[in-house]
Amino acid sequence: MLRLVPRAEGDSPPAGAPELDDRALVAAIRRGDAGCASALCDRVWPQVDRTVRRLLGNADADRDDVGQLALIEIVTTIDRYRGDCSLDGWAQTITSHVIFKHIRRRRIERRIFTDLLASGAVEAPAATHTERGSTTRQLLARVAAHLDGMNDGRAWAFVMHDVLGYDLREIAEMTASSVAAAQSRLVRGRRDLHARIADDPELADLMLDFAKEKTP
Amino acid sequence: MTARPDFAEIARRLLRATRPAPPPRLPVDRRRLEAAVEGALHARRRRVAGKRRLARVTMAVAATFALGLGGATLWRAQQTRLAARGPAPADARALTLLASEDGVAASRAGNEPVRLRGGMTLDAGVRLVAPPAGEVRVGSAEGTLLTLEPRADLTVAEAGATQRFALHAGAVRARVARLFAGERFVIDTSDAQVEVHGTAFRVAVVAADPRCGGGTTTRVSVTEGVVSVRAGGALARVPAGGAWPAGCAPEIATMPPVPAPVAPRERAPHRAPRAIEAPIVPAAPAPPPVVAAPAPVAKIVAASDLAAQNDLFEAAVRAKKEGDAGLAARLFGRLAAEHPTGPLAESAAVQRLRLLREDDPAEASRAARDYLARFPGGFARAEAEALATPAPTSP
Repeated sequence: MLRLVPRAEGDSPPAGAPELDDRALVAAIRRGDAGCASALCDRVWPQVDRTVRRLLGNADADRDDVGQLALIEIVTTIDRYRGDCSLDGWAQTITSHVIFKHIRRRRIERRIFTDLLASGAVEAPAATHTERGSTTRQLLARVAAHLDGMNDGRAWAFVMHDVLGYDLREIAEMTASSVAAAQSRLVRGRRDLHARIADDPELADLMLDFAKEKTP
Repeated sequence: MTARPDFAEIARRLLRATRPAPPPRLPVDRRRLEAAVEGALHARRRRVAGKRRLARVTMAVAATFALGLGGATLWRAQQTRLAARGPAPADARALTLLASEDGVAASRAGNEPVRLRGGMTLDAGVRLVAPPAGEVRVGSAEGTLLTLEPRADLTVAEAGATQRFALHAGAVRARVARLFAGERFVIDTSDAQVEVHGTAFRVAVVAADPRCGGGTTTRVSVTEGVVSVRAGGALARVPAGGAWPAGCAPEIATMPPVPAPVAPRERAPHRAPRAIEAPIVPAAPAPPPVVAAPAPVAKIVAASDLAAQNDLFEAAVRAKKEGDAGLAARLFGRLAAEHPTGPLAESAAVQRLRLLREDDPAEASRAARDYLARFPGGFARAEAEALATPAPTSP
């Protein structure tokens, strides 16, 4: 088990530590110092990429382009970063804004949640044979189709909170809304999804079977 | 009884079970990514520099505008203060010798006369003596102009907020700039004090005439504005076109008397005004017909009084333009009477008879006859003949 322990006085920084701390990096970006490009990529790319793949999907063909756009947007909007949150949080917020803008642009030609949730899915741990694996993918596809048919804000609130694990404050920042609005959308999203599945008897039966299998 | 299933919760469990946390992943093309970020940083640098330039230019423009506005405000405030406060700075009031003929001399009390140069500042105590055949002009930046006629003898008694002069002999014409509160312009003679209220006038010291003004040697004629004359304990206000003393014949013999020593500060203190104020001198009476005063022509001292004639003619023309035909006729008449041989005499006579033709046909007829007698071949002969002939009366 690893534990974080305070560094003893006189210890030198570990090898490979970034030369610029976040404050110096932000100052360099504000100055437009091109020499900090590499340090910026090293520092924020993991958070950017994680956010892109969470919200856009692991198999989305545009993920690298969106990640690059997110990095450029971080440079462009650095004046708005007041240091109230971590640089990772800021990068996540900016990346999510870029992603939602990207999604809105391609909304008419793709099925967001189908691509996000069904295409990159792995088999459930209990699915050990081919028939059950196929049933799970069908379930995912049909639930994703219902999410695609819901109000965008409510569907995203449900997915981001219940599936991806973002808390309400993060959702509010990433969707440029208030925490109260995010909570309201979450509650209404859950209610809408329940109503849609309840109105689909076949899907409801399959969901009940899945629930029974998961119940010990 | 079974609990109602929560399909949203089941969907959450389904989606979470089939969606593992994404593993970290490096960019596919790191060099391309860094190049894009470098480009963004370059663009940002240019934008920041542009904003700084714009800010500097904006600040420079704003500073220039503010300075200009401040300067204009200060200037206007200064002007307002000047108008409200009154007295102008001493340097604006300073008297300067503008032009002089050879021979003008000046001296301080007890000193030898010295020749002055144009542009010299004249302080209190300086005594100016104009040459026999030339004028001396003294002025200030405010616009006051004092012209010493030939042989005039003038002492600058005070040269501050109060400008006081003592005229010992000769004549001086003055055009005084607007006076503010606390400022005075006074010319003292041996027996009178002439105070100005922003005007153009002439003061002369002549030989005493017992039949005129109680034997005073001072003559004042006003062409613009109002002049106060204080003499013998009485104060008279002489309006434009008027003369003091009233009722005197036009000044003709002006051989300067022997200059009597004048002590302006002692002799012309600011006396408490008596309650007696002389009645306003009526505007100069219509000049008598020239036929009644032909003699002075030969007696007039040949002096350069062209400027005085010009001033008089200009004042008459201005009165005519302003619609004051009576005043204009009087001023033209004075010019014709006081300067009968001057170059403007004929024009003044013609202007006068034309003005009188409407208001006073009888006087116009007399003026026409006078004109024909003095200028038999004058340019307005036909016009004068028509006026001189009495119109036939209807039966």
